[in-house]
Amino acid sequence: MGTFVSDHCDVHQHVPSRQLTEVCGVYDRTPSFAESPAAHAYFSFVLPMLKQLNSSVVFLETISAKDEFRSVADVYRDTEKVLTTMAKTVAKVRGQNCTGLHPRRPVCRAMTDPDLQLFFLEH
Amino acid sequence: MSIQLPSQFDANHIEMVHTLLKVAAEPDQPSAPGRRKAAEQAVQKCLFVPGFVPVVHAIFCNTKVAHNVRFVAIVCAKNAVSQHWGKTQRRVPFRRRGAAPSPPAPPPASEADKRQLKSALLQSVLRESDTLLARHGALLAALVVRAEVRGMGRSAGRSVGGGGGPSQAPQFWPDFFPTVMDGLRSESQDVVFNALQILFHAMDTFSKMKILVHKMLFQAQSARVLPALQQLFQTLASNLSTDMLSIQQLPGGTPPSFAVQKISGMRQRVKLCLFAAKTLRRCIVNGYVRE
Repeated sequence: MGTFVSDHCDVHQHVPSRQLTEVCGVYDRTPSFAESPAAHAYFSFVLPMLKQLNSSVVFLETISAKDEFRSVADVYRDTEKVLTTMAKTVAKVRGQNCTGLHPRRPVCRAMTDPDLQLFFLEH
Repeated sequence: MSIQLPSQFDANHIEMVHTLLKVAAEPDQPSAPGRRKAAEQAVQKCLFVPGFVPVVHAIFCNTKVAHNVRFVAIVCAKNAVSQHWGKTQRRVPFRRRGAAPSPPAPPPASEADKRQLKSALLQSVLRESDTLLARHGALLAALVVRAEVRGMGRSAGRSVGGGGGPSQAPQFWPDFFPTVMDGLRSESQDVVFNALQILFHAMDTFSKMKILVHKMLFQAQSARVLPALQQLFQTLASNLSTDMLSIQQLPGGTPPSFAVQKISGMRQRVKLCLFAAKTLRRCIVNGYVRE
């Protein structure tokens, strides 16, 4: 017995994300938000949420590509904007230079970068 | 064809302004050509007449008025605030050598008008059920915030320069943040959505102000808003993610229409989450600058 996902879409396929390429700007600022009391609460929530939303965006993108599911395209776009906004904020706070990276790289980086994990553990 | 305008508007002129806006909002009638153009020109002149903004706001608030007239009313209020409210009276008008004398500048907006609009604007936008009108109402609130911040920039500058800080700077529009925060805690999703829209547009406008004093004021306000906003964003994003996950884990053989229906029902909540994420970004990126 499969799931709805495996019945209707392949979540493992590569899905390029146009909006995330916007993250590829030069961020050379080091804002003091990272040292603020609000930073810990923000990042301890945002990291796992980026991962979860990333999987939802992949799911919605595949699903809305099908003709019979076109009506959910705006939900997909807005969910991806949420993900992009969060990724941009994380990148900016880190002073990350994302130029030339893979479109999905900033989000992947936010999830898997050991330096970043350490940074968040320390806070 | 010219229309006689009063030198000052008050509540007795609502009917007259309503007629003017109605003519300006509708297509020109073949029986009376040029009527619409004359109404548009009259509305343009009205933007600088004292008492006009509260009158158009009263028309905007009246839900019995036609949608297009309410829309024109809120656009007029936006134009009046953006063109007129930030201005102060120039003592000696600037004049280039050899140039003809320019017409006298309109007097600055009256304090009574500002007070009247600020006391009623937020509640009317929070209660608005029409998406388009609510968006323009939120933009109007953001313009008022900008005008207020500009207006008090000089006094805040004195306090910052005099050894004070942004936290000791005088408050612009003291009811703004408490009213919007109350809206964010409302039970009604429409009110929460409108409150987030107002907060987003206000913080967006505020965060783009370049003068140092304005930036310091924005930082002070960001620090005040951030905890509540972060809490709201976490709740919205968690609920969204949980619901999205439940759809992904629907058992095989589920009719696609069921999933589509569930995803379509999340439209409003995704938009809410997006506004919260964008506002949070403005507060974090522009509210905490490098030392």
